[in-house]
Amino acid sequence: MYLQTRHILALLTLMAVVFMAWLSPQNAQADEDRFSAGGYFRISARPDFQGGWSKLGLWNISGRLMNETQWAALDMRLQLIKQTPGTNEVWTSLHAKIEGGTAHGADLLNGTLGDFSLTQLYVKAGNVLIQDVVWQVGTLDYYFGDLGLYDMKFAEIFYDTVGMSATWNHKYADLLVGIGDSGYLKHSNGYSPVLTFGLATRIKPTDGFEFGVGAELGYEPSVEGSSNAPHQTRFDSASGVTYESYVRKEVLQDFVEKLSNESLLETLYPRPSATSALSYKIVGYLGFGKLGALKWNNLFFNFLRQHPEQYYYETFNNNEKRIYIKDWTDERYQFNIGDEMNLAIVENRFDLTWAALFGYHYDKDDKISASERNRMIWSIVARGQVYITPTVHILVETSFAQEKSLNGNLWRKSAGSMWNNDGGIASARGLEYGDLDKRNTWQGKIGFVLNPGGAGIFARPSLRLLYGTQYSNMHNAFVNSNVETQSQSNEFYGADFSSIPDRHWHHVISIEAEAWF
Amino acid sequence: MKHKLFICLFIFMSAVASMMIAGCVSQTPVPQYAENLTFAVAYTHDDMNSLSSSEIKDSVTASLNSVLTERNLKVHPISFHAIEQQLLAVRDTDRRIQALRASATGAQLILFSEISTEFYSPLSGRYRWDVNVNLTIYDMINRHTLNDKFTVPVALMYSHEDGDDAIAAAQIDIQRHMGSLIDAFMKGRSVRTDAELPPATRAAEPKLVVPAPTPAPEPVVATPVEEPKPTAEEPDSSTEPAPVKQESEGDSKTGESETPADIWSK
Repeated sequence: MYLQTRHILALLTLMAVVFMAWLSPQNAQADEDRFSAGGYFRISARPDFQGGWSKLGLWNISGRLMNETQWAALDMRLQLIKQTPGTNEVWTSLHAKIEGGTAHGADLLNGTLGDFSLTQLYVKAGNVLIQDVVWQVGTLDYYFGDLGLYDMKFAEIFYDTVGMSATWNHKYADLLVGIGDSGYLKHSNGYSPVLTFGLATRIKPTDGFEFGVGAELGYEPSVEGSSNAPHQTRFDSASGVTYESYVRKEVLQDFVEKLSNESLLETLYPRPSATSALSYKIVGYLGFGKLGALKWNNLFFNFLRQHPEQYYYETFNNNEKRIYIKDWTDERYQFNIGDEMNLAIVENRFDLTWAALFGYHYDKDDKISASERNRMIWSIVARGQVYITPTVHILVETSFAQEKSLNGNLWRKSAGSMWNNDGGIASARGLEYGDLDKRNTWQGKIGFVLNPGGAGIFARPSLRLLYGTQYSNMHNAFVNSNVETQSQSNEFYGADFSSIPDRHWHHVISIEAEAWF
Repeated sequence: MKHKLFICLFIFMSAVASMMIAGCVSQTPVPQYAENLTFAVAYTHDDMNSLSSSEIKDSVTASLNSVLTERNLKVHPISFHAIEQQLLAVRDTDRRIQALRASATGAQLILFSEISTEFYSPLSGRYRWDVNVNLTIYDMINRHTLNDKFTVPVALMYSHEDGDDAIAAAQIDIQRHMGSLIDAFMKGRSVRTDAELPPATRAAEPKLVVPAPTPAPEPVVATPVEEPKPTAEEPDSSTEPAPVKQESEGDSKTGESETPADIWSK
């Protein structure tokens, strides 16, 4: 509630400031040119007669189309000192972006402003101290590009950093250097400063070829006595506490059960040890195109070490303890690579875009439990668009995705899996889930697109009437309100679990619109 | 069972869409002006970060010139290189127009497009640009001008794309504005009758000689000055909705709202 109120107040304050500046009578004419706004939205109506919540699949690995829901963004700019052409005079502008994922009547949140936030706020200034360098103070988010079919940005740095950056722009190269603090977004209410340093460069040797590399490093220093700074509650081997205790959230129980007398808990429970934390991300980009039918090809990759978690609480026999888990969460790595190719097969008649991604995610601390931290994923998506007229198009898209759990079963293949999956489970107490260690998902989408702006797969605004279907070897592979638990099963089916229908196919019709403005 | 339901529903909705495509909505034909008029046409892409200017891609200028030719107006292109020095020397439209006059021999009118581009910001996976356009029609004889200044927001796909790509992406909007500006300027001038029109440009309704001007972009600010003085050949330029000889119904009158033509004429 507090968070929601804070968001609304921030939003209202920002809007008031911007509009007061805009409406200032003495500068009315000048301000008309100085203030501008851009934005983006997508909204859809997707009646789902299979118990789903208006998404064809679970996430964007099958392509973003029909797997994303509402979004709205307003990006405002106030040019405090306008750039003067042909001079090296100082210029400066203020940018603010408000965005969120809901719209009135279109989803469960019904457009509440509490679900919007001020995701970007920064000031840019040019020609200060160094000519042709643009300084940015505030949020620093930077990316080389986007896999449009997936809506994923593998080559992105400073997403959660607030600080200062300097960008030098040249015809053949750009260079960005930045420094700031990522503590609030990484830890939120458990804020502890995460000093973040990063750089990125993009080299543009010719018109049809460019590449870039970048990196960021996050360092969270040890702060003695700060409850939010990185610590580890260290247990010796005699305590009975292992990594498995943490996975099961039974650390305190295991510790107490090893004690000869529970009253010794306060005396013997280990004090947190202060430590520091480190995370990093290396990104790369390769782009080429303007070769016949090939409009452009984007290749992005990243390799990252996630920032460790802080702590959580456990309660056992009315004893509550905070357990610091830096050492148990500091070896989570990801490698992701994705490519997207945009082809004009028949100019102004038929365009084709295909994309593929591969990801290998592993947690070196966790060798025992099935989770999305230990998995290998890949997928391929292809979208074709036929232009019947410049504004009326037919869209066809298909995708196949596979996710493989590296530490055992992670998904259910049928409604009855929760009762008859012992054969697939290594631990009877459940470090796995369900009876599938591999989830395969196929999707197909077809429909009409009205593009007032003309031909182009990515031309917008886009008004679409689509039908989408999905087949997955997982039961209920979409966000839904179907029977999932024992109590729900008892309510709807009694003891006859076998009568719960398996649901591998999913069908959705979508009426939707998307636009940048 | 549900598969069938969905497929049936989809087929039904597709059929509705197909019917719409099949011609329920007919396009408004563009006016075909009867006078033998030639427009001298010039384009420039002004860099916002320096005082340099460059030419606009041939594919874009060809597309924009088609706005004139499809109205039965002739195009006399002025090469960017022929006027580059004059364009670089000044940035205000009036003086640039005066500089263009020397290159516009044989043309009765000048259509001058000054386009500047400016990167706005990355936006939800795209690259948002502003394309600022200043269109001016100048009458070589009467020195009337009519002007339309507007900004087209463009979201480009790729980071390597630049101002030229932004202009290409905005060309449909620029075409619409240009068509509207030309029709506003030509308001009151005679057009070909339906029988004279090529089949592709005829109106759907046989009695419709000339359509109302494209309503799309709200224009237009212009220079001068005095009220127009309609002649026998040129009906009142404030006439709404159509600017032309209504051969079957005689001259139409009235119309109180201020139009671009009201503003420009001197």
